[in-house]
Amino acid sequence: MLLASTITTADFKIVGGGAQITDQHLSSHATLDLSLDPRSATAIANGIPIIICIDLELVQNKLWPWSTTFLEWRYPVKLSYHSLSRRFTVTDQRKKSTAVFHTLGEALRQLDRFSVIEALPATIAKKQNLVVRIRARIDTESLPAPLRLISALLPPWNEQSQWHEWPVQ
Amino acid sequence: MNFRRALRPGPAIGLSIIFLAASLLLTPAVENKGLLGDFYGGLVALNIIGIVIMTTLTAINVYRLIRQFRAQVLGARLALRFVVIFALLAIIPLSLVYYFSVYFLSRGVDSWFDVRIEQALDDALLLGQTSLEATKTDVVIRLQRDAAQVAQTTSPFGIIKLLEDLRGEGDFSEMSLHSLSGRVIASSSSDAISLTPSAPDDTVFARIRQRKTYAQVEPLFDGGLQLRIAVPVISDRMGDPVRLLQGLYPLPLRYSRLGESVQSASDEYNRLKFLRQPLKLNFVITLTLVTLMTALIALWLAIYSTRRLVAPLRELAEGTRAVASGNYLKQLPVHSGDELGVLVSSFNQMTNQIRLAQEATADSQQQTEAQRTYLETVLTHLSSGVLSLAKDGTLRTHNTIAESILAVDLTAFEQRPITTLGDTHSQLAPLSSAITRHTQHNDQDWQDQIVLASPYGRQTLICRGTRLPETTETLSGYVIVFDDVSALIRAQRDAAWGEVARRLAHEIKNPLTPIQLSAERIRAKYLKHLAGDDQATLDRATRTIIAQVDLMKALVNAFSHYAQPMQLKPVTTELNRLLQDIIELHRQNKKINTFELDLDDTVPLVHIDPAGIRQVLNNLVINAADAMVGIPNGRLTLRTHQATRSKDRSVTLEVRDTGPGFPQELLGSIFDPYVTTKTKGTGLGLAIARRIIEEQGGSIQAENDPAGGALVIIQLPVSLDTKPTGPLEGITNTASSH
Repeated sequence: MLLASTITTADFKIVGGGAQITDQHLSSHATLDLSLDPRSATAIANGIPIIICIDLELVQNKLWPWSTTFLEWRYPVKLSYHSLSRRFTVTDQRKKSTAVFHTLGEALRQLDRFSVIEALPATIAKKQNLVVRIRARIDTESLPAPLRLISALLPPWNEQSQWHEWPVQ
Repeated sequence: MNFRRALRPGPAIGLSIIFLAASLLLTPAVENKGLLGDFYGGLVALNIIGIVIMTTLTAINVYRLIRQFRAQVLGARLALRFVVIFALLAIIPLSLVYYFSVYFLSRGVDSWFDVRIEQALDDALLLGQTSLEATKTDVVIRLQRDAAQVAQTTSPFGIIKLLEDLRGEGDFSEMSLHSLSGRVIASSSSDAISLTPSAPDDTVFARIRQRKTYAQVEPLFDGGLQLRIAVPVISDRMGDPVRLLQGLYPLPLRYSRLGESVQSASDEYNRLKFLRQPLKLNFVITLTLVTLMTALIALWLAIYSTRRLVAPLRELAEGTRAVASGNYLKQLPVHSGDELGVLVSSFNQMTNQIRLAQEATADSQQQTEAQRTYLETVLTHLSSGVLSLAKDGTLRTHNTIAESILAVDLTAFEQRPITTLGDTHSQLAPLSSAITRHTQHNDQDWQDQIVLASPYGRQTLICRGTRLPETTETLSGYVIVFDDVSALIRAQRDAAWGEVARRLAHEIKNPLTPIQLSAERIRAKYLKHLAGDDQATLDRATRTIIAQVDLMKALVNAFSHYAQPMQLKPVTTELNRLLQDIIELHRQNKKINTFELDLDDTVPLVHIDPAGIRQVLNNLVINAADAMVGIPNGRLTLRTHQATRSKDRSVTLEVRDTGPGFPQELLGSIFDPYVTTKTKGTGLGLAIARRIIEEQGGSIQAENDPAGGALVIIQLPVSLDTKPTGPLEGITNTASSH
């Protein structure tokens, strides 16, 4: 099987992105740079699916140090290996679609471009100083039980990117 | 600290149950059963917290136990021993179970995996893949044949019609024709609501551009498998571009299920193989947590149970110690109805009985003590001396008056035979002999008059003895009661002498004057008529008569004076100054070579009649001067000091000379009338001196100085005033020698 030839170490980054509200709809997009640790890739190849979760939050910055979170969304994408067809699959639960790839690297590159449109309540859409925050992480809760305790304590299973935010246009 | 409150079982058992339940829940959680699997991490955290809490609690309890053991607190040793035994009983089997559990767990997990099973699964998967390949090859051939027909068709509607027919004939779920630029030329789908066909990706187009076929099995989102087949459509007509014909062929349900089943089994096996070490680690962690929690709970419960078990024993030991130290009021609380409760109840009954007995004994002792005190008080205030003797003649007890009368410390003779009293003090030999004699004869009641020759004069005792009834060995014996009747006898004798003197003075003094007058008349009338020897004889006879009458008159006057009551006027007097005045009058006495005054300046004022004392001292000085006639360097010493012999507050005056001293045989009666060592003395001087001294509340004793010479010791009462009230001047010298 073709594991990710480019994968060396786990590293989740948010390269860039943007957001704007149009007609009470929040349109967000981000460029991700995701790579997995060889141990995670091996786990996928051994039939253990890994769910990469993209968390999106709509917050309002204020004068005080903390901000108010209005809405938050969670977009899980399952990475798995289909041994019968010898292909890596990316299953988007939200879109209810499965994409097939020859390599894990191709599958990860499929996730590099993230875009979403969500409807907003009118009260929130009118607010000022809104900020969109985004991060990508491995959903450790979805791992098999034996890995769950380890994932809480050790890398690479607890891999996650920093929060990246940008103002809503 | 409320010890019982600390031992309340509620919190301890509640905490133990919570932590034990948390550790037991780890088992289903590690198997990923339902919700517990989701909370596995939380359960592990809860167990770790529980272990930390239990470890802390156990450590605190063990520390307290060790500290109590070092402080030698009652029951701490027993508690520590119980805890160690309980801990060993719990931990040793638990450790063995843990060790073998880990061992068999590891072996058990390893036994899940087998090379043959793995190979079989791989072969099954390969078989499935091969079967799919065969199907795929067949579908590719069919689609290539269809592509040839499409290539021959030029009409767009014809193509659509053709795709519709071909899709139906070939059991494709979708068939679409694309240009290499990605544009959909025509499509046909079994899904009526699908508007656009599934677009092939770049990989598919790349294959078609290379005039190659693309065929791939794809899993569907809803389950099942489909074949995505793409073949190039190449027309014979010049100028027609190469197109892409894609067919989505759903694998038959039977194939899909078999394939999914094989894949599922293979994936599950691979997943387990991959998770083998984490699984072992999870099991070991779970087992370790459960074991640790169980051990700590067992240890803590052991400490808790030990403390509960030892608490009544400790209270019992403390109670026993209290009873041993004499606290019979100690009552212990009864907390249970078990054997320990019965033991504590019995202890309380025992202490109660002891307390009642102790109170009865104390009452009895108190009564006995009161009776003894009463008896001692009576005996102490008796004017008689009392001795109690054992049956064998051993001195048992005495009262203080007995010591005062006998002038010895009788305490030193207690529990010793009464004969030792006479052996030690020879003057008491008559007393001890009389007592010994009567006790040896076992006389019931007896009475003797015993005369003791003490250094201070003759002492007459009236001694009565009684044999005690022989009720018990300790109470049998004798009681001796004696009185010093010396003063009484002396008073009686003095009274008799006074009466004699008074009668003598009265009966003799009356005829003396006529005798003297008659003698003087005879002398006056007949002396001048006689001559020669007759005249001389008459002259000598009448002179003798007159002189002897004068002498008898003086003697009678002395008796009269002795018989008359003393007219003394005691005043507060400075004794040292009085003595110096008296001595000054005697400085010219040639019989005394040296006067020595050893006067203590600190002696207090005395309450005396100065004239009486002056008379006494004049007598004593004259007696001393007479006694030292012919003795060279005769010395008279007067010494005053605070009294040491008498218990009363008094001043002692000692008059000491260097003469021959008193004859030993006269020492007991030297102060009796008509006792004298002088040839011309009346024998009344010292008797009068004693009367003067005793009339003023003092005492006088005579003894011989061991260094030689006579020693007269006078005790004079101390005045309560702080200033002299009696003038010393004008006191006439009444010195006279008798």
